[in-house]
Amino acid sequence: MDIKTFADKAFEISRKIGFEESEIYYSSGGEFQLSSLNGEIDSYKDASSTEVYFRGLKSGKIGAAFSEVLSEEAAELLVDEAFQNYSVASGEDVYVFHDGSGDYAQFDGYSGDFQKKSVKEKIDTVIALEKSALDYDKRIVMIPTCINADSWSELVIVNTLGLNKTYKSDYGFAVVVSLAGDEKSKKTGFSFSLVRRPEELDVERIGHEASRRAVEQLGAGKVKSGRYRVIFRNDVFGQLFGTFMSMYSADNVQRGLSILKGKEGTAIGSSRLTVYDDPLLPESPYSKPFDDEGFPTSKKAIVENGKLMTFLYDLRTAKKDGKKSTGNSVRGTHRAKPSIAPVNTVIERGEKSFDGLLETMGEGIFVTDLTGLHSGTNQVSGEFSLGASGFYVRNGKISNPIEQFTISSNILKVYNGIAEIGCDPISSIYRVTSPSVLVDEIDVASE
Amino acid sequence: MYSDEAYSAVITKILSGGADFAEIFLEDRYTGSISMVQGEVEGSVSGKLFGAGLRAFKGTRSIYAYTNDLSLDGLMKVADRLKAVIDQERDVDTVIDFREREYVDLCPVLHAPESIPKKEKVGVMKLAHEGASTFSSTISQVIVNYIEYDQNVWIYNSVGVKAQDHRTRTRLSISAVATKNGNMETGFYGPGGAMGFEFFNIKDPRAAGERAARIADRMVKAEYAPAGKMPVIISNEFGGVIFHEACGHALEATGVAKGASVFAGKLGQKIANECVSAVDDPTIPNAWGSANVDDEGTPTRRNLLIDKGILKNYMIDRLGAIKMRMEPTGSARRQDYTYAPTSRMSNTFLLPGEYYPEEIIAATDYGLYAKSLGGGSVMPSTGEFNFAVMEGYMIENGRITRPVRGATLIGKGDEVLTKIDMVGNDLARGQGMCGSISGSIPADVGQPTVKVSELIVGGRN
Repeated sequence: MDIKTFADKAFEISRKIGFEESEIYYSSGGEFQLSSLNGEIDSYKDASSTEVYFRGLKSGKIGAAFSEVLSEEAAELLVDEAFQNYSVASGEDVYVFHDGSGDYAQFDGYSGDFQKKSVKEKIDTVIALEKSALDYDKRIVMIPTCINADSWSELVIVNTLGLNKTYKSDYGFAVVVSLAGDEKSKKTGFSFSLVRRPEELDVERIGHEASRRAVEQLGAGKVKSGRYRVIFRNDVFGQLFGTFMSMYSADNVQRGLSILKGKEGTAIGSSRLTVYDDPLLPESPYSKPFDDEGFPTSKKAIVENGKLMTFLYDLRTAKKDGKKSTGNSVRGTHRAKPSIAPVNTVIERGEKSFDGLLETMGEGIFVTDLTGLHSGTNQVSGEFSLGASGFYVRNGKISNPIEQFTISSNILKVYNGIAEIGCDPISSIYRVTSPSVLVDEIDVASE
Repeated sequence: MYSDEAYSAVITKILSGGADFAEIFLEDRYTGSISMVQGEVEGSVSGKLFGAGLRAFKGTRSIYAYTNDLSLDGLMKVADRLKAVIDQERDVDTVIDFREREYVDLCPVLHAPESIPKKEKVGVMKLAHEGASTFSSTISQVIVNYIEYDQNVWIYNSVGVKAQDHRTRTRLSISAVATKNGNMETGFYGPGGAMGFEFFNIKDPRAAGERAARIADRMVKAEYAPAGKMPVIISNEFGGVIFHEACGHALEATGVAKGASVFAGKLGQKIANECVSAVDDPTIPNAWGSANVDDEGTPTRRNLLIDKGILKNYMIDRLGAIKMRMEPTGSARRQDYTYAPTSRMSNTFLLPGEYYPEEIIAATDYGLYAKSLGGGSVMPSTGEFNFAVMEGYMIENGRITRPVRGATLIGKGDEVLTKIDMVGNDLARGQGMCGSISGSIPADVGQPTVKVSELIVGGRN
């Protein structure tokens, strides 16, 4: 059964059961993944899937359900399940659907180039990737993870108010983890690359980067507990910054679960800090012309010169605050209800080169790895305490590798402590494009 | 469902491409979640997962594909794709003689998720909400989530395994936020079991809510934990996440078979202090991480990992077994059919020792008492781990003195095992979700109260 027939069927059942309006979110896609170990293909994954998410609306309340089967029987079960879910909904929130009006940007996220590549070519790429990592240095013991993958998806959002939107996208990525070892210690290095076209994948750069990062950490020493000035490497700052983006969700603000509540229009950080949500960033695979409620997306400043410009809204939270949706309804998986999040967070670059940042800092710590972001952060209070490794910096130069220390602070303290922003932005898997950043006063614990 | 002959035909098609081994995993799952914010049902979503994962081995190579098309035609198409990858045509015309082993169900269910009206589940959530929201005037926000699923799986493979299992899970989780003088702290508690709605005959939702609120309330009144190296006493139950992260992941064949684990090649060697013994046990009736058979159809069994400090075994899946030339241990798990299975923990815990928890505290002059832990993570190839202390207290002169917040504990797994120097007699288990390459799966962690002679505490200076 095709999606149009299925949607028509579901909408018909939905009217009979008592919903006023109905919406179908359909996505189908495929993923292809190869991993290499010791010069041979270790695992191979080739998959396709279909999912459909139904929402029924009645008196401002929602009932939702999902299915992975498109059949008449499945449509009945889906709508019936959604109605049971509707029947327990309570509270004062009023849900609405979008009717498809507004300006939609032209954005093409699909090339089809990954699917045109033969399996043989993809195998050659992943094996070359492992080899480039392995050959980088004789202290590289092995490559525990070496993956090359691509995926595509097509999505359709259609509702009884006239919304009817489709969007197709594809992208590829590679991950390498290198393990380096000497008599004394073992260290891993990580590199990740996300690309829109197969030819953008720089096999040698990724392999070398992962191995260089592992080797550089060998012989890492300890650092004394205390307060330090810290430079976060670009992707690492993006990772830390991205972890706390939930505080901009109007939903969290309205529930009293954000430290930014009541701070709209006020300074929340250093005047050096400007942050955009740019849903149409050409290089990002997450970019899209409309959000997961079918509302058009657009670029906007979230923080401008340290001042909080706007929270991020979906239709429901916008209605509650008497505002317009910012097009930030984002669906993680079809099994959970959508949340509010930036599509692509972009931290505006500064002037200083990376070496310039080191010089400005003089003495301090260069952080190249953070662990425990899912557990050592409190997204409600902004507090964090994380495992870290990196380098000690003396006289404006990288001195020696250091390991097994923690950094602790509050994200708003970090915002305010930004002393300098570098000019080396990089996009990362955390949906954040960030340059390296120098921050004053971070608590470091170790020996 | 089709006949055994039909599935045999799919498997022999894969084998005819030159594979050494072929497997079909079929899944049909009902899953639902309800979320409640400040006592109001804010979202209720449910639905069905329906898919098949097909896998082939050639030597130590693994080839995996999945689909939502479970018709025989659909499965044959996927089998063709796997066959094309190996591409070593050969004649295979045998019909596989499947043998299904009978078992006594370890996780019987009284009230399956779909049989209970949603409003009864909402009733349980309201009790949890009340327990938390009325605990203290500092409690400013309470979020209650109800998560349930009923997973049915069928597994067929080329060595004649035919297995069927059902995994029913019910979990109630409460996040309470306490606010005081502009500070906000969160407390979390998420009990669960391999049971249906009858879980609430043994678990009082109101008390569960109170527990989450207590953590938030204590912590919002606390000062920051101190920074530096010190003795740490980790309380029982969810405290077992330290063993899970520091050691458990590094005992999974996933890392060991490649040599990418600090514990590779150390069977029979002393890797921990003598007071440390640990097991992975998926056979505990109705426990959160239990199953009758694993996701490769191998019957589950209790697996002694460490006995009095000596490494006795790893957790091994079928592919790991080939690579390591050992036997599978019934440890293959996956989130759902979209993941190939690999070796994973189930219910993993340290065995009890001789001390009362009070004796352990009394024997500590100065240190941190980690009463509740949050989650953590590890890099198995280096053993470097971290985890968050959700509820902490200082110990001074053998007594618990004041609450402290915001601490993270870091260390290296192989080092921490040798630094556990006292083990209590109060074993208990707690529930968590464990993430790794085969996805996110329910897993119990557990331990009695233990003392670690020194760990780095990431507090404030």
